[in-house]
Amino acid sequence: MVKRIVVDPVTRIEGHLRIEAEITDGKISDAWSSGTMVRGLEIILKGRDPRDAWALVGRVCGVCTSMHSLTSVRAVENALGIDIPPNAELIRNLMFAAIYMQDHVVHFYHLHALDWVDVVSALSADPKETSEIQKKISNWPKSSPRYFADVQNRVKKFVQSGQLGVFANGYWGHKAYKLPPAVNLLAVAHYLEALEWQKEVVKIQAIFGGKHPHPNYVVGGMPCAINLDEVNAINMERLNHVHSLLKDAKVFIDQVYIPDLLAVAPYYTDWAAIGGGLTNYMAYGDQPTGSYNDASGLRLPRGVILNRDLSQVHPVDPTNPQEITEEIAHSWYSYQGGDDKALHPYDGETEFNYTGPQPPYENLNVEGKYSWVKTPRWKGHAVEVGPLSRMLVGYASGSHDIKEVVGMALGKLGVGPEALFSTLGRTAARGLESVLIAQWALDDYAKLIGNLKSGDDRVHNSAKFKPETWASEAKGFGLSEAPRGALAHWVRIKDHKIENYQLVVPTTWNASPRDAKDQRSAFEASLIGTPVANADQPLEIIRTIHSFDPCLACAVHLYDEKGEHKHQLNTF
Amino acid sequence: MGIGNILLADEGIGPKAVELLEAKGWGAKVDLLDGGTGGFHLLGDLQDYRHLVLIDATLDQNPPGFVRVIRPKFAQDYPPSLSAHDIGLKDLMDTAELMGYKPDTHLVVMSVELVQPVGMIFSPPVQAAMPQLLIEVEKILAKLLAPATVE
Repeated sequence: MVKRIVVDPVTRIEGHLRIEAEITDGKISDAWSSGTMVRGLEIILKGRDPRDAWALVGRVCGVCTSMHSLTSVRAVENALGIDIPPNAELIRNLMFAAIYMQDHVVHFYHLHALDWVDVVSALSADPKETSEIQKKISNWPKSSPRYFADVQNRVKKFVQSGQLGVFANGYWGHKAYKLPPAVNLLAVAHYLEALEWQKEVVKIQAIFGGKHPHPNYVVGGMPCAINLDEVNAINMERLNHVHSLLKDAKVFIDQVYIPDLLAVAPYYTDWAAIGGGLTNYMAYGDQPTGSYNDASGLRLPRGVILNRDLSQVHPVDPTNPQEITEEIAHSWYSYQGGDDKALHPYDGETEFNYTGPQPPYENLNVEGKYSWVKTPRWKGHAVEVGPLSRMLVGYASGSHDIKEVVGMALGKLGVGPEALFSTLGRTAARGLESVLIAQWALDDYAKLIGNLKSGDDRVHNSAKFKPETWASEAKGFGLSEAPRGALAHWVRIKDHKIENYQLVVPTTWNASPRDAKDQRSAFEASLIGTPVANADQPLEIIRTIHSFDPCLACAVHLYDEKGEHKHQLNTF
Repeated sequence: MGIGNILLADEGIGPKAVELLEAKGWGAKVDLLDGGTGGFHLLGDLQDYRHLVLIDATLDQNPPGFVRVIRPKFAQDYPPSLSAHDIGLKDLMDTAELMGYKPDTHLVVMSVELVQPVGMIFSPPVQAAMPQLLIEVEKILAKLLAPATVE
């Protein structure tokens, strides 16, 4: 029997995503992902000063705001041939690390954990048992039975108040929840601790970026004055604050996040064989140890893996018109040269063309256009981006750090590398790279202090800041690894103004509709074969989609006061 | 704290109001924050203050430019936000509630229209209502700063 189900909206993600799936005999046989993005951003940027682009793109959403700003300054620096001082590279790395650690921890505990952790079950746990588990898995000091009893009471009170709030959208009691009550309580306690912790670590962005929650960047380096002894600059006192936040972050990741991940995973090993989907993985790479322009020095390496063949890493050239392209065969856009064309982002077009049904509607017409997300391809291949891709590309590239941490996790869970190609693998990869980033941040901090103490306090290269020094026409690209995956901006500059600006964001790679050859993208592919025990509570779909950490910022769907689906905007 | 997305026309009234308050010198008396699309990043700010004046656009049944002051107790008292961010203001308020952060909150909202182009220019009714929005906010700030109301 074939049954069509719709999950709309997928909750606990950024933005609005709709999944339609066909279930045959309890398993998903086909799936369609439909999303909405503020592609109009590209229209706002046209005609503006390229040095201002970072400030505008940073506003696109509130989750990884600074990643867009970072990518934008990289694109403009690439176009204008600007090299930035080593300290600026280090500070950008530290801000990158802060957003990553915050974002991954928030994803694990606050957006994804409730797919695996039954909050209601935690209320019936024995706090003594939770305490014993905690002491067994790590040295984290908050481990007494009293502490867990207090947490339990606090959550009980919260639930009894009727203000379910953050816990309102769970499928509590669903039989796919497998954790014993004591482990559920452990996770709930850390849900609360992670909230406390995450608001501290983001302060690093405000210290260096001067402003919060949308920090400042500048083309040519960083806009912060650093002087160890100066009261009004970023001085030793403030740097010590950064250092202590970085040390705390490493402790939290090593003693809470990773032990929890490894404690929960054994209950869900079946998910190491579900949700794999695509067999191609791409990473642009990031975390430069020298200049960002030197791809060989990236700690998170750049490349593509095809057919899960870890013996070969294919190089990526973001300027080659035959490599990265965007298609719109199933997206609500039109191209001047025809909707069957695949355009490189330098020549990208953003012309809306909504042909979907008028709301309210039952189902989308998936034979035609069915999403606001364009469909990007690398040399015609559908590829997955995100933490799993980064770890796989790094593993295959022979990165010592990445091989070590991946090997540690596989060993502890007693599974082979094939387990990585799954929903569980994706969730694990996010934790593992957090371990690495926490350490790299401490390394970069030490390097920055070393530079400053040796008298190098340069953070900005102003040589080509003035438009008079620019060529009349220039084009450039900026690549980065946002927490959710490969992010790129392409900019064309003409007569000192932005002539064209295109963003290809991670969730576009993963959430896009089929391409002209009917190849599925990552979300759609990953759902095939997923069991769905209860079509009215499609927890399994949510698990796999959440494992990608989707971010469809600035969606155009709106809700009425009761939070029900109300209206869909057809135009921006 | 003004929140909203400045790239989505009328949704940007919160950050704009903060900019105008800054220009009028309020920054010397109160902490002003352009919360943008900050989401979870703003949790610390809710913990740090006893009083919070929040400025946001709302999509309710009122005509565009309609300004009102709400005294929300729970997350569900917040009117529908224009941004459909799932990890948005309501989620933030839900979380603050869970954490026991309870700044005494005045929410000043302006109603905006459903269909808006992407862009950074306000629609005429919203532009016209900005002075009134500021008056409401300034009235609240003045009251909060008056010695009699300081606890």
